[in-house]
Amino acid sequence: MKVAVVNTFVPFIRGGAEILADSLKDKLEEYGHQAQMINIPFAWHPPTKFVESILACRLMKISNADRVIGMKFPSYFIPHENKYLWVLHQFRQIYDFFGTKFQTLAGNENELKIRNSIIKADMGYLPEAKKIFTISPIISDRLKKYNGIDSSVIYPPLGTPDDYYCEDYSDYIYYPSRINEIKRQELAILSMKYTRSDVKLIITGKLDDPSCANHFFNLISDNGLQDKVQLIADYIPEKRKLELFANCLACIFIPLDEDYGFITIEAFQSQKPLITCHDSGCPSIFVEDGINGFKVSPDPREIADAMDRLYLDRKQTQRMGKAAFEMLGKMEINWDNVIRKLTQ
Amino acid sequence: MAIIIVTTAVPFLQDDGKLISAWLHAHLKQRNHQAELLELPFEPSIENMAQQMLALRLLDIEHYADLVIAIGTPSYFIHHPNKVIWFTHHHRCAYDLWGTEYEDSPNSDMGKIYRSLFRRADNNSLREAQKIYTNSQMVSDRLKVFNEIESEVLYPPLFSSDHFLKNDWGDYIYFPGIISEHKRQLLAVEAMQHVKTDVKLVIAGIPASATYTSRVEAEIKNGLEDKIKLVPRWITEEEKVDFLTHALACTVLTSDGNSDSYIGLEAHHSRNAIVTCCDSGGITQLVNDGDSGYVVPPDPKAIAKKFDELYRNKALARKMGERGNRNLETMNISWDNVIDKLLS
Repeated sequence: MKVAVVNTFVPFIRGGAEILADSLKDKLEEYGHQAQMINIPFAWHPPTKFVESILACRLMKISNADRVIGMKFPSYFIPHENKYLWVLHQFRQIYDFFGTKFQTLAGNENELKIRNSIIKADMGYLPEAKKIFTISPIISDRLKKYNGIDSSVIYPPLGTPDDYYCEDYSDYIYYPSRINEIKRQELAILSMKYTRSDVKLIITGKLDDPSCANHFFNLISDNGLQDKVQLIADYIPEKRKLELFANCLACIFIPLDEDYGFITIEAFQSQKPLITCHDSGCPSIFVEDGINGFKVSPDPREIADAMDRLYLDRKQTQRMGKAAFEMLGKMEINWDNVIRKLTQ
Repeated sequence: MAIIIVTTAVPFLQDDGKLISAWLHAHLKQRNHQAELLELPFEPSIENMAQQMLALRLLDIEHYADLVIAIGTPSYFIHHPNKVIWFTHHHRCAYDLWGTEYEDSPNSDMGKIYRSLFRRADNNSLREAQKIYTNSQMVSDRLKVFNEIESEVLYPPLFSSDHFLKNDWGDYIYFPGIISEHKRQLLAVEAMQHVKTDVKLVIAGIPASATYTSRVEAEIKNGLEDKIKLVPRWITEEEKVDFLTHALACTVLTSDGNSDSYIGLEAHHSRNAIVTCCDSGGITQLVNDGDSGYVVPPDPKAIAKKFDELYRNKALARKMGERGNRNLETMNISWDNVIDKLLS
């Protein structure tokens, strides 16, 4: 069938959501469908633009498509009689980030009105879809809690799972991710103060705020961790990333309230266990403590302890890595499942 | 600078605007420009027109791009302080096709409102541009007459013309393009009733009208099966190159065409002469009678005479084809030139 994959995008920025939407389009074609990307730009400033963007999407028409798959606010509002949703993102600024230190809205009367418009839009327009899926139970829970909408979960697979491999379980724990406050790389670095073994930490990823680079490097040197922590605050070539996954002892991913987190899947695909925290969101759903990783409080001493355990008992670490890999199969995190459900 | 190319099109349909946009995007990136392609959905039926125009006006990409290049209709409704338009065609139903069998809105009160809306919107949005280019003199002339706006002709080049190697001027005239009344394939078929040599005709293109294509098929069955080969479908790049490589010459007989730029360019790039009609519109800018082809009245006998002339004198067919190729070089139809102009 002719499938239009609709995504909201911010020009010149390419994140996990863009990669997933593109992968979906490619896979649809691989499975014999005709697929096309439709990207709708979204303006962040000022907040009045949010409402204009919603209206623009409601006024658009997608013709000549048998199925439309909406993935993100607000492009998932574009009307179509045969629309499925596979929700990657709602607009968290007005939901769970609102009232926290991650809120960017000013909270004045005008912006509260805007917030209400968006909530009404989600509640009014999303149920038009014939089927509503999300990429994670966290997002499904939020949809239910704030908008009263039911949905099922289809976990997104990696674009190219076969690229990942396992070579060795050496001496470093690997943390690949965008570097910002929510991902809590700082917590991982501080944990290295309390490790007792020779375990090391390698962090790679682009800084959301490049001016923070010094803060992180100072954190490492001020705590005397130069020999234990390596920080590469930039994208690294894909090949190098795969190599780091393949040879690490284990991975660590300790964000606050992550909706999904491909890093979990990348770690498991490379047969490595994962350290995560109870409040990390979806990664904490995937990790069974002691089976395919360790799930601890967001406390540097507990994290350090988990790191040491992985370092000191390699056999256990390897077993956990294998269990992690097997979990992917059990949870049907593959493209067969995705394409089948989205093209029914 | 950050460049966003904007185009509007019906999903999954082949479209000249889509092709030019994709090629321009690729060529900009080849030259290390930061460029993003935004292909927005647009459904051209009259009852949905106004709301989609509003949607385009509501989108905001001002903060993302230093330059916006709008290609095709009606992508140029999008606003930006530094907007350059590469105008390819009017929504002619609101202009010269109004009051004819091709009009899409009736001469009722509502119809008149639409017509007026479209014209006013065009006049406003076009005037917002820093610069307007068109893809042919014919289109520039219409812009002047319909909207009183000046523009510069900028011929769209082929993506890459490297792959045309021609050593064979064979025994058939090649007639590419969508099969429709507008393109007048029947005229070529009727001409074949009058040829005196063994010259053949190959017609290849997507049938836009089932009725018209049936008429063409019926005429061919009228004793012309040995002389005419009809390929009523989309052909691959390989098939097209093959047809052009072994053709004697090409023919384009469109009635008052906007521009058959690609077909004309491809014919001359592949060193094929072109037989066309004096009322064929844009392509007559490319072909000089007796120089790189023939320009004759839309009469089957006149056309047949030229088909025969080329068949009898292959050396002439070759010479005219070579001249067509050299003419393109003097017209500076290249991506370097296009990019210089659009970015200046």
